[in-house]
Amino acid sequence: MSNDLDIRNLHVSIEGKPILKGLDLTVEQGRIHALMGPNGSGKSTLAYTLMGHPAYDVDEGEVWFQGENILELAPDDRSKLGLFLAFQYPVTIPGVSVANFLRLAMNARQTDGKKIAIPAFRKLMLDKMKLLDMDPSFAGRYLNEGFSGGEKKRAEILQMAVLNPTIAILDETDSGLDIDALKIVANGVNTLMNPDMGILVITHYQRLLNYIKPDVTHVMLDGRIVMTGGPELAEELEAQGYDWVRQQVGLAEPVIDVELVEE
Amino acid sequence: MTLTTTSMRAALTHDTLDDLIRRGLASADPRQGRAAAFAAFAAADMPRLERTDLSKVHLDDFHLVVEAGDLPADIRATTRSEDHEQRAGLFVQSNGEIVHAQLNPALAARGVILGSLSQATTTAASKAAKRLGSVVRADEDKLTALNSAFWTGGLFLYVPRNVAIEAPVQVVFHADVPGGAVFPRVLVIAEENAAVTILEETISPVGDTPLLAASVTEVIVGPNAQVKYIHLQNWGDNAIAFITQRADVGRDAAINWTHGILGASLMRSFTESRLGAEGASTEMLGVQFGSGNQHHDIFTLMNHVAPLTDGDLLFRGVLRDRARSVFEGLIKIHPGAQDANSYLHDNTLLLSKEARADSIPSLEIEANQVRASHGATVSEIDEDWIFYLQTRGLSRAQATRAIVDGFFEPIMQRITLESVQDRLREAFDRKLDA
Repeated sequence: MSNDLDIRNLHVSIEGKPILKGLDLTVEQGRIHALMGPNGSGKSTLAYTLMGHPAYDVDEGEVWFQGENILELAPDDRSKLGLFLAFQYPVTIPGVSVANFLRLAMNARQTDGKKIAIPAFRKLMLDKMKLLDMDPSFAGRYLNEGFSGGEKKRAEILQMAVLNPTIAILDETDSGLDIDALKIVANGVNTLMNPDMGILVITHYQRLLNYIKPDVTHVMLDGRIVMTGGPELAEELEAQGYDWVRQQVGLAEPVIDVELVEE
Repeated sequence: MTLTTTSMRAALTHDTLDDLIRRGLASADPRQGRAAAFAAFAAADMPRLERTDLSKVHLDDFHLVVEAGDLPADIRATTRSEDHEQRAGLFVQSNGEIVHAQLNPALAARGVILGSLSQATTTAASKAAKRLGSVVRADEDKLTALNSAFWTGGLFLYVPRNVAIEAPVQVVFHADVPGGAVFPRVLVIAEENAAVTILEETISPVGDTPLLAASVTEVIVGPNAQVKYIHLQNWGDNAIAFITQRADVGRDAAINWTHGILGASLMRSFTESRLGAEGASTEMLGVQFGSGNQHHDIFTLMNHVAPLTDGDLLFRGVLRDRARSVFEGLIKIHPGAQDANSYLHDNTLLLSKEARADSIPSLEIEANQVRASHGATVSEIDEDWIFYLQTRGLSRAQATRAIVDGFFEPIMQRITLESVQDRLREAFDRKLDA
């Protein structure tokens, strides 16, 4: 049984339109992987598919985690196995406070059916908030209601801290953040990173990778991983752009740009 | 027709009414009110509602039930404890008989009355007899007439001038005879500067044969008095319930109606705050949860008759399965009611494709210097919310529960009684588990 997340030949479509076209990727425990790609390359599709969003149809392939092909599992079972997704666009749940929500999430993963004691939960939550430099008043606010972009992303990282996943996927966590907010969120991620955790950082820009240093960088184009390298690959990509990647891998036709025009 | 004295099950006829009066089960009827009410009942057609079909409700199918039935164990246990911290008094009526009426003796010593409305109205000169039927007239419609003709037992609650009652007065109306008809009747008089909270719950066991409950509640709120009336409609899913509630609100006085609308197969409710004197105000809060094939038709009226009157209504409903709700909220501002403020908001959340809600807020404004607004939304549960919560480990059912709890939260926060919050949350859990 492996704590790595092993994606094999993954084909995914939405409403009959293929998005992922044979993707292979392994995210290892104890390492930070960066997944870079232009808009429309299928990055968010991968994130949602890994968590089991019902709108994405898996046509082929397997995703192995903790000894199971998790594509058969409901999203909540994937979460309980130790998989976590920090959303690019976290949703607002009206009337549900951050504290209450976290407690529900903690209780949902108690295997013995018991509930976590409230004092123990409060301590855990406040410790994690302190770790992430968050004001305790945050706990009483309704989840994401009226949150700034930075607050939403910090709330995502707080959830990651409390749930302590084995593999965390951060989907465009840098989007919509100014540089100060970006640093705070990146610091939070770095604080949480440990040898028992693997992280997949999905991003369009290299900017976030100045603060969260990847061990491995993957480049995604047209639904596939087309390049894999070390941290220097991210910098090269920043300097040369995605057209350089297309030329390198012989995908001269800018498939992605055509899709963007259609939008 | 012969009726036994211990058990009475009789058709809703004039003979039955005569028998009730002869046996002293119905009050002595000093003003011939019951006969007139029966005549109004016999003459009237069933109300015609735009969105609720009452044509399948045949009142002839039901027989009058007077004899008390078997109370649920928790209610029986409540009647045995005298916890005056928890409640100021307890009134329990089963079918047509009062089975328990008890008031904190300290309050009785201060002139508070909690007891049988039948007994309180035996003499025409009594406070209760003079006011009974003055807020809700017998001939308003077929169902108020029916109640006014046949009610027995009944609650009379009187709070004298300057008496403020801290703990709630708990009221239970219970019914348990399939095919039976019950007629809960309440008269509350809060004199000047008085304050009281009433927590009424209507209950019946679930069954297959329909049961009819037609209730009338009259509340008189004297000058500067404060009345909070909490009504938990928890009739069994076989019940057909007609509810008429009205408060006459005096100068600088306030009525708060808090509704938990949970039970019955078919319910029609009409709740009105008549703001008849300057400075009168009302707050109307409601949570409604429909499941199975339930049909809830809710009509509210904030009736601004006098100047400087305030109204504020917030209702929220959740529907699952094939449940159906109709919410009609009317703000009426009469020509003389200058400087009235009135706000109404109604939101419904649908948990299934087969559920349906109609929300019709409306304004009738005849004064030129007022502030009034209304808004209503009906929305389906958002699949992206469910997915988000699932990615945190909540099952679909747990996610739905979290969303429903959050949806009701703004109203729960305004329901300050913790025991009521608990009762409602239990009911929501039961509904979501079903």
